[in-house]
Amino acid sequence: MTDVLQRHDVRTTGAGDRTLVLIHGYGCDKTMWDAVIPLLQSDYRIVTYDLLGCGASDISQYDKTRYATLDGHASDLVDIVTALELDRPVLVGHSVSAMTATLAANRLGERVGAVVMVCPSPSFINHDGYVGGFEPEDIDALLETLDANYLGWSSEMAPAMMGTPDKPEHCERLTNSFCQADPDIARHFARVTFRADHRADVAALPHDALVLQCRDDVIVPEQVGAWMTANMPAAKLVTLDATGHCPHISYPRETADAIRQFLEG
Amino acid sequence: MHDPDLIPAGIVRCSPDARIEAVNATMLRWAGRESVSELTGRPFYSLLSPAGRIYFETHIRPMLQVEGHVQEIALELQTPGGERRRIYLNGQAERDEGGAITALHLACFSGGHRQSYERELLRQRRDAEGYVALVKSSADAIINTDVDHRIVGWNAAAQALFGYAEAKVAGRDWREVLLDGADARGSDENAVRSDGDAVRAEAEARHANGSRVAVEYHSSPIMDGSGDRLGMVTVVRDIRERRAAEETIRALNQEVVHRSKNQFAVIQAIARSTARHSSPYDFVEIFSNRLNALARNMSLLEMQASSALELRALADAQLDHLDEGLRARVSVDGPSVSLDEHTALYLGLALFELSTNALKYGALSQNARESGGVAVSWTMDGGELALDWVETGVRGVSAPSRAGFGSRLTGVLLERSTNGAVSADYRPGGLVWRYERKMKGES
Repeated sequence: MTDVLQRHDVRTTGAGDRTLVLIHGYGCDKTMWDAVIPLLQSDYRIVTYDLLGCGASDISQYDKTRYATLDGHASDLVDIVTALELDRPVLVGHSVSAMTATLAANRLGERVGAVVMVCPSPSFINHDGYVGGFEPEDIDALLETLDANYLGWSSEMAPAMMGTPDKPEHCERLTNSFCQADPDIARHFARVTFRADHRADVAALPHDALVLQCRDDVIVPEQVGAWMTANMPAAKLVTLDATGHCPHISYPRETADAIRQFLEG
Repeated sequence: MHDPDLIPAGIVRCSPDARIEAVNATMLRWAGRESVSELTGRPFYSLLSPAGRIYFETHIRPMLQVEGHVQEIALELQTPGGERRRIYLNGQAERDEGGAITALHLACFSGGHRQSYERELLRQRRDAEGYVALVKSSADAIINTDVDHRIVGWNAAAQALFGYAEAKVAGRDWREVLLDGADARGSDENAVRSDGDAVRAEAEARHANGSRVAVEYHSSPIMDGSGDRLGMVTVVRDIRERRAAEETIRALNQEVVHRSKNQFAVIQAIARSTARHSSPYDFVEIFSNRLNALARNMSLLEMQASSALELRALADAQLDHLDEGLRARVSVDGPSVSLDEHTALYLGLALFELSTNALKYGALSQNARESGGVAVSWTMDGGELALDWVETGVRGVSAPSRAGFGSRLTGVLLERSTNGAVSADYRPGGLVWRYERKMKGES
């Protein structure tokens, strides 16, 4: 079981009665939480890890069949919670990983305390009566955009990103390849992420859940938050005084405060 | 200072949360807007295609915020009219002394041609990877050679079929590795004769362990776009199964001929003997009855689809001509015994003769009481088959006065042709007949 901790480069920090498991979303890795962690670690034990195929995870273990749906990532999360013997942790998932947290919570039942969803979307694609924000063609175009950056990612991007001699701590992080993924994996994960439809799983989530939204989130339209509170048994919607899709990077203070308020009631 | 509106690149200054504060004229034109006020305050992503928006918000903006810069990101601008322009984006975050971001500076360079070129490169790379995967996972052995037949590529199926790893054979003439001299020369002649066209042939190829593998191979030239020959690709198929099937068909044909010759010999003998031992009036009936017995044996053999026959099935078939009441007076009992075709043929004829004799003179005839019957039973003991035909309830039994063909079928003919032993004893209650034979290799 310690294998799973190594495979995902699982890190634990902070101290407190409750444990938060922070799950990064599509596009980057666990360092996305770096600005939020200092604001929470005095009161909570905090676990972060890299989704398989991202960041410092063991990329050689990426199996396109296992990760053809979010279930593979949810199984990894279940394994991590089990390996660390966490007592009713709070699963905090960003974007698509809010769905991974949902799937894991549905499987773990009472062994999970609560779920926090940062800019979640159960389906990025529009359906009848549901506004996800994108049409299937947009997702195909995204895959093309990834292709257009395929050559760049693998050669020119890496050295360019390394060049910040004035900030040695950044260099350290860059060797952990921030936002860099094997292009084939990135493409595969993009397809899995943006074609997934987990509306039924979200609607079945019995846990207390916090849905955090931002204004002007181009990835997740505002209607999604309304849909979620209307369809989930115990969800609370909070709209942050923030814009964009990554408030934990751009507005760490607001994000941390909202999580704390939700947990302390 | 240079006028930023004259720079042939789109220049944008954004707030820390990526909202547009200022743009140059090039950017304004590319964005398809008339005045700067249309853009100020809007998120930068609103200038991008839907896919570009996702990419910007999930990758570029986090990188700008965490790393402070991005370079040469391929994106598409999209005007309100839907017109798209491929660009490369460079970005730099400006920070204050405390490290907090105060502004984002973005520069867009037109890059349509380069992006097309890069996409073409990527497409070709994927194609090439696709073909490599195709060859690697092919179930047929595929050998890639240069123009001199020297091995350049050797897939996993080739390794499985011939036992050589690719590294072992790389650089060697594939015909020397796999084919004998004669075959190698043959394929050479073919190659010369067909002047670079495909060659197809069958051969006995050599496995690394020295054994032989029957194969069919098909060599085709690999041409480049200008018609120059780059080498050959040879697909080799294992045809051992096909060869074995052809061999089986040949053997079956021979068997059919052999069997029908035997049949004719047997029919001839039956005809000759029946004629010798019966009156011209009875001949047709007796002869055709015996032919029917023979035919029953044959159809049993056919039904079993092999040349072995179950003794019980044989006995049942040869008693089949009895009517229901009589058949009920015959018991058949014994363990499962498999007979070869030859034994089955003669034992079948003997059982038929015994049953017709019983019908005419013995336990199933007018000479027998209603309680009369036949017990057919056999045992297998230490590889020895002993079959008993025991009639009971017959009044006034006497051995037949002359030895007809019937008694030859149940006696000397059966003994000789199956290498068995027969004893016949006409007891007061009826005939007790016994056949014994050592079975070869059967349990």
